[in-house]
Amino acid sequence: MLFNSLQFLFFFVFITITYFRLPHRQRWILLLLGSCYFYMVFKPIYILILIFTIVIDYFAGIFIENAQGKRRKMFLLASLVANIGVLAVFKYYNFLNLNLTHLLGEFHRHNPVPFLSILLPIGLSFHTFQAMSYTIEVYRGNQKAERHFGIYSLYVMFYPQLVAGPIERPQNVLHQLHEPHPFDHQRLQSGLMKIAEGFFKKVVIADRLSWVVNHSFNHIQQENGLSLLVATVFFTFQIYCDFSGYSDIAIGTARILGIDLMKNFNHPYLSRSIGEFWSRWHISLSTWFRDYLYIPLGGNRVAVPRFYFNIFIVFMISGLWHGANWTFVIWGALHGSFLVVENIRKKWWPSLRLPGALQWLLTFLLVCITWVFFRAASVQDAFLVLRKIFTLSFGAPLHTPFNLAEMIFCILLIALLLLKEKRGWTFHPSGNLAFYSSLAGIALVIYFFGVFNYTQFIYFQF
Amino acid sequence: MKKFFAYSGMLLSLAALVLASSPYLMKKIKGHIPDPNRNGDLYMMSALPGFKDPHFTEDCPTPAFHSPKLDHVALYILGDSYTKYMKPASFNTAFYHFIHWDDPPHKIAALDSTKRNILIIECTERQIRERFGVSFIHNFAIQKNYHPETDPSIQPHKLDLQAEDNLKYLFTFNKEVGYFKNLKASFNRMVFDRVDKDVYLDKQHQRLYLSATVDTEANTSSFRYLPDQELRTMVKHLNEALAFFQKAGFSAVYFSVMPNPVSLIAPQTGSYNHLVERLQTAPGLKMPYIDAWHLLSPQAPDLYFRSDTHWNCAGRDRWLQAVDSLLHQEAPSPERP
Repeated sequence: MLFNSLQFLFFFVFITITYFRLPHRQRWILLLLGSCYFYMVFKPIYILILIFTIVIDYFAGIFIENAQGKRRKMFLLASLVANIGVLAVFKYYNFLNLNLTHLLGEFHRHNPVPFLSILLPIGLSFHTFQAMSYTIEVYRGNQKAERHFGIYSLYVMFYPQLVAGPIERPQNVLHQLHEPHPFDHQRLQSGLMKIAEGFFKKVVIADRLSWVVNHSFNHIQQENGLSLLVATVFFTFQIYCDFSGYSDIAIGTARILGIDLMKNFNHPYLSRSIGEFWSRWHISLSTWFRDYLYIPLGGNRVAVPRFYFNIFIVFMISGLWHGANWTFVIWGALHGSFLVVENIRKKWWPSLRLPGALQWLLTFLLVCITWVFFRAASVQDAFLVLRKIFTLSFGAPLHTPFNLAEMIFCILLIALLLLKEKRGWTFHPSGNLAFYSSLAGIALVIYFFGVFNYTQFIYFQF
Repeated sequence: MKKFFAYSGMLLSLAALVLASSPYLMKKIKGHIPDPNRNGDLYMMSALPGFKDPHFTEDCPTPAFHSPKLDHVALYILGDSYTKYMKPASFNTAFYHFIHWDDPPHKIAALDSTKRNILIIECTERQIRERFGVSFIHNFAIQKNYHPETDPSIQPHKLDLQAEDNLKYLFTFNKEVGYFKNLKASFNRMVFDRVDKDVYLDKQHQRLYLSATVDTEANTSSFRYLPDQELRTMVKHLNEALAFFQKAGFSAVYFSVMPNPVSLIAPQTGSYNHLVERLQTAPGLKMPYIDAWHLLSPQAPDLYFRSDTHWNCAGRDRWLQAVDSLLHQEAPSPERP
């Protein structure tokens, strides 16, 4: 189910009211059934994949806790193989097979391995990563195995963050699912405001910018450098508003139910270095990779070349996590390379620093360049976009589907977003009347300025 | 009071979700809520008040036929939105049966051998490349003792979790929401010079067309390049269909392509591909056709609705009269003693 749909509106109202009308011990049933429905709206049969990983990880957690020595590791491995196996089949099988076909083609050989005609289950990478974090934490002894099958299932399936995160940790969420949460008017207001902020980002900013982005990126051959440059900058903000908008709605929805989800974005485009960017962008994923891949690889407590290798490999895998395409691998590799360069500079030339504004500008430009690979349909397309951008002529006409007024409106929206983040503006009128009148006003603004194409959130595909 | 609101909200939202998820219940309720198309489908999509037609109707008067009724003719139409709403009285024949393109497999009850069975394959120009571009005969079956009303394959599903369209149908086409939609659409048009993505507003702001018929990215567009090879493929499939239906017992089979309004009214909008004319005059084409293109091109702006993608009653009547003349030529009434 899409957050930006009427179906979600009715679903949200029903679940929220019923949740607070039910006694605490029955609430998990409502949330679990609601989450199943939420997921099954996309493609009902794929609920079986979720059930499969839930059952495996539930028992793996208990077995890990009860086992000693090597058996603990064996159960953890079984759980990881099951989760990664599901990912491999549904997300990476055809990608690997395609590469095998190309490779064999180089030697004039035919690839006998068939391709699978399967649709990628929505949000697969998110819930498998969340499930894996559970068994790993149980293995490390940081989390007790959950004995309540329903609560564990809800940990994986909790509908606000089921399909696009934040990718939660068991230590943060599981205990909250056990605790009673009486209705709290303050939380309701704060949650509603967070949801409104998310919707504004998604339907007013992201979906509007997507018109310009799609217009240019769907006709790369015909477009000039200036149009592609504008589309790239717009995509930079589109993806941010799309994804952080989703996170805001998820966090707001959960907050109303009494559950606090982790912060997923912290003004990433104000960053002055790539390292800082990654401490502010998709925090739940970057900390996942830090905790479960980077540190086990040795992190920075290894020889310098190995440290750089660790950074690079983690970002390559992070790229691959996003999608089974070389564009995502290059996107990750670029971020990894920038971070390595940044660390070399810090180690060997610590005094070599640009003024603050230039640091920000350089970081922003580097991030923009990497987004070209994220958005382009192929590596060739991405290089063509970059070639056109780096040889652009400012005298060339700007091709956009918008008139001047709407282009100015887009730029104002972006400026407003950056200003809000820079100044830390928040909006929460005191008093019920003022609050609900303001909320109604915001809803009207979202309706009038929103673009309702019922576009999926970009990160759903991952 | 708080409890009352809470329970009301809970029950209403649950009722809305259940209703919208049940094709059976939706079918029952559809006659009792405003029809989204009541002012024309282009108006429904665009919400531009200037294109609202309060007198829009798909229920045209029965044509006045000047020739005797063809009691020995059974007419079948395989068609879509243009012929969907026609009633048996729209044709001067003893029997009329409509089969919708969107409902394959198309099962037809065994033909009445005492009558002349005639089939018209009606297709809109925008869907012709998709439909005739592939072989479509395997979607058809003529069955003895077939009763569509008891066919489980064409009964609605009991449950459909994707309830979004039904919810929109239930809640967003009433007068109150319509007011806000009009405001928003007018604002977008005036300030941003933009209309809903599903429609195209001509440069003079006089007529709306379906975007799919103008956008050259779409296969449905009148302005998308049409290679000769693709045309030959369509001819091949039409000829194949002619042989198939003749073998199945139809004494005559025609096709009729309903031109996109933009093709007739504003072909200068882009580089028009002349699909209809090229298909009708394509070498090797064996299936005869009812030439809607030349029937509708004179006075075309007066034969199509401004608020809807389809022909109006005058356009429809023109086509029905042509069909009637053709049926009389094809199956003249037997001489009475």
